[in-house]
Amino acid sequence: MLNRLKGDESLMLAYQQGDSSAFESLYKRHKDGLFAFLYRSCRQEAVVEELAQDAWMSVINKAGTYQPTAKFKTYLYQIAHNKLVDHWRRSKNFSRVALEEADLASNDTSVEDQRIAEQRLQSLGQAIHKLPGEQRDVFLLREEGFSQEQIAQIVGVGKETVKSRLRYASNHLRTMLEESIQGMGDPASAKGAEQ
Amino acid sequence: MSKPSEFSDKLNAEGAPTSPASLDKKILAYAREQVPDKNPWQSVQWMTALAACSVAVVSIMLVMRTPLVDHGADTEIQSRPAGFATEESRPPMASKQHAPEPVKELRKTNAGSIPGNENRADLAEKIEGKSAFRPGSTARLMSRRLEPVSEKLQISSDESALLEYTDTNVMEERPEIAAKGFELLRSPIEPKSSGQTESGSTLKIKGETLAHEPGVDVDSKLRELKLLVAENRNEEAEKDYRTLVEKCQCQLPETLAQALTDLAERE
Repeated sequence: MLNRLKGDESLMLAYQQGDSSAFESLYKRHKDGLFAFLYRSCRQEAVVEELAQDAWMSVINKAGTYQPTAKFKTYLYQIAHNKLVDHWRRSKNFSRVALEEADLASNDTSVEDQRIAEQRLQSLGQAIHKLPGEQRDVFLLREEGFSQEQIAQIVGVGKETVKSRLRYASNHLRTMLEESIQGMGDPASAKGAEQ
Repeated sequence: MSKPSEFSDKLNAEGAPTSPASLDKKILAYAREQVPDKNPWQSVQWMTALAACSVAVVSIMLVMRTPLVDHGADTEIQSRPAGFATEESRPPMASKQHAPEPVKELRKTNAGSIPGNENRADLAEKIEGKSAFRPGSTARLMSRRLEPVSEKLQISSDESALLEYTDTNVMEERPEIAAKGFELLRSPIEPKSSGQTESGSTLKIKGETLAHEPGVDVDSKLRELKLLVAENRNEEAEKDYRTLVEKCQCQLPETLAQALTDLAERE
């Protein structure tokens, strides 16, 4: 009950002192957000589960040496982002492979197949998935509510880099959505996307 | 917090995936397993306390080790074949408190076993009282020294055995007592022919009293006899001389004349 009122950092410190219920509260606060972030980044549920588990276990293992120098959420997402980067490195640029797969699907000669592929792109999630990894991370972190400074801290780049990546990500997404909507002939949706 | 972007509504409308329950269980179970120590200092203190206890136990064991050795020595003495009477009559020694008793008894018995050695027994008792041996050390000395003594005492109850025994034990413990008390004990071993010891003390009768008490001065007795001879009371002088020889049992010349000659030479 009291744990609800406490800040993330206080809960983490309480867990550091041996209060496992504090960690439960902390986990409940952030589990879905982190899972969504990871899912939107790689879209493979099994991989996402693995990454989420790795990230939380790292938090648990480092609890003994945790110091509240930054917000806990930043700390958590930084760990998750590192896991994600490791995963991409292991899978040899997963986003590029996914993009190529999507291109192959769009180059299908069958009109019906092309229509299906275009419909897929209506989904913003899939559009995000087509973004380059760096832009996608920054974009998704922004959607999770992090400031540019926090994103810079999580990703480990400068604030200006974060700004430019966000700009590129937004432009890419806008373009992709416009194209897909124009292809489907739905002006109402296109108008909404432009806004 | 950042402002919601143009894509936020659409993203939220798609529905956010949630963490599966199986994953939640797994992670929470792991978190409970890996709870950090409540107080790292407590474990450090436990380790310190454990180390201190170990040191204490080791020290106690070391302290307790000495009586164990003594007990072994006592057992050794007890298990020895009955060499002399005191061993049979001695009660079994179970602890180090009993260790001094055999020493005392041994001395008394030895002193008493020599005819007319009551004074020696007294002396032994005095030494026993003065020296105040430590029980452990006495038992150790017993274990080391008793063997030759018992053998020698079996062969002969001569005073030399007692001297050697007392010498080896007491002199090691208290040299000053040995120097003081056994100066006289040593003297009968090499008595001068005249009956005077090197220290000038009056030598009494062989095998009898060796204590520092007034005895018969052989020279003065001979001087008295010389006076009797000078007064032509030869028979009386001869008689007294024989009595002196019998009583003294020391190495006096067989005849009074020879004794007087020796006396004159010495003087």
